[in-house]
Amino acid sequence: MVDLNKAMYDVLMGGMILSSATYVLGIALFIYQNQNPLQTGVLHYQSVAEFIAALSTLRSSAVLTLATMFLIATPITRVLISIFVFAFNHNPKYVAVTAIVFLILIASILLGYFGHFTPE
Amino acid sequence: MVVVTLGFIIDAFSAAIFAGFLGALFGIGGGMIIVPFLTAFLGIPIHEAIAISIVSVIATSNAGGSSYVEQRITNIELAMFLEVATTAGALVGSFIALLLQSWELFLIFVALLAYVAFASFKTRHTDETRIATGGFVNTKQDRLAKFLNLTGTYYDAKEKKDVPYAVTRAPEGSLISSLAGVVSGLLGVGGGIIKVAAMNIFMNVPMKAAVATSKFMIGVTAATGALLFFLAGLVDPYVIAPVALGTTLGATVGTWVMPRVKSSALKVAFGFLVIYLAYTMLAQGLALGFNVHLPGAG
Repeated sequence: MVDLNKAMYDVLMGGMILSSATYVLGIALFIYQNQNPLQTGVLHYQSVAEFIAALSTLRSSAVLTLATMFLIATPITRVLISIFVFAFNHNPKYVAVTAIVFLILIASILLGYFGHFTPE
Repeated sequence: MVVVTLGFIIDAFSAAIFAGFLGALFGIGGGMIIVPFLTAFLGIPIHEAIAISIVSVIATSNAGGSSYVEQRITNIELAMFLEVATTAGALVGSFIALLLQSWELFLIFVALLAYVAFASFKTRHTDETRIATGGFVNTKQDRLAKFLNLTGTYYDAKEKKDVPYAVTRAPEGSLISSLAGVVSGLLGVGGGIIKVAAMNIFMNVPMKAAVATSKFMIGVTAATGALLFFLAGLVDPYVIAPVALGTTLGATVGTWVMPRVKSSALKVAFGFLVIYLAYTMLAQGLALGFNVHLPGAG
């Protein structure tokens, strides 16, 4: 038996530490790189390559964007991991319940992205 | 366009601590505190403020959720079951948005909140009575709750005893939770309040277990919206960084305080919070639908 509480705690705690540490690094880089106030609002990366290039030079906006990715990935990972924990513990009812949640999540994301739906 | 300075980062961080703390105390995301602060005090446009708020809900759910899971107050199975309803509700919400005017949504939501506030005040002592008499476990479960084995136990740090409980009215609770998905998807706030109310008022879940379970759930409810806002480029990295760090810190403190508060005090404070949200929603609904402006509400 895998302890579900422990598994969920590890995923959430891991996501929290990873994203928080990356945010702190990004803010430290921002303070180091910008002696003057910074005008933001044009920080949308046009391509993955552009983002990776900015990340490799440790631009603060790219590091902070990476932290947000870690953050958003955490609850999605949490749902995915719990499917495996329920399966390992031979609990088919909850494998089904959790798999439905995961499928709805993926469907919403795909529908939102390709339907160009921005939630209000 | 926002001018980011060290002072700005400190302001956003401080306000977020407060939002994170209240969010952990009541099992909510804290968007109703974060959004007005970002727009009114920091001058951030409303759609960016909502985007920041939804991403910060994930930060507070990671921090608060992990702490409540560690303290074993969260009912993970119940959370998974209700997540089917909230994620489906959020998906359906995007279609409902095409059918209803937003002022109609606001007013429907106000009616629901009014009932939640009334029920929270009316049942404020019910939790302590049931904890004392073991009333939470002596209930007849419906067939779905029984099939899914929806029961739980948490240790109440205030009453200094284990509180076992049996979940009931699973279909009704699930329906109300789907509403939480709809409103949080459409209006950006209020999902956590409906989840806590559904569990505590309808499903025989003790207030503290409901708060912890809602806190665990809201990250998943917010994930879709957060990812879509993020991909649309609406999440300003310089604003989300201090807000996420602040809500994380505030939520961590809040999860220490919540189990040590009396359930009745928690429910009365929750009722007032619901009234505040209902008033701001009523103001927005009346302003949008009838051009009537209530005092003290932006």
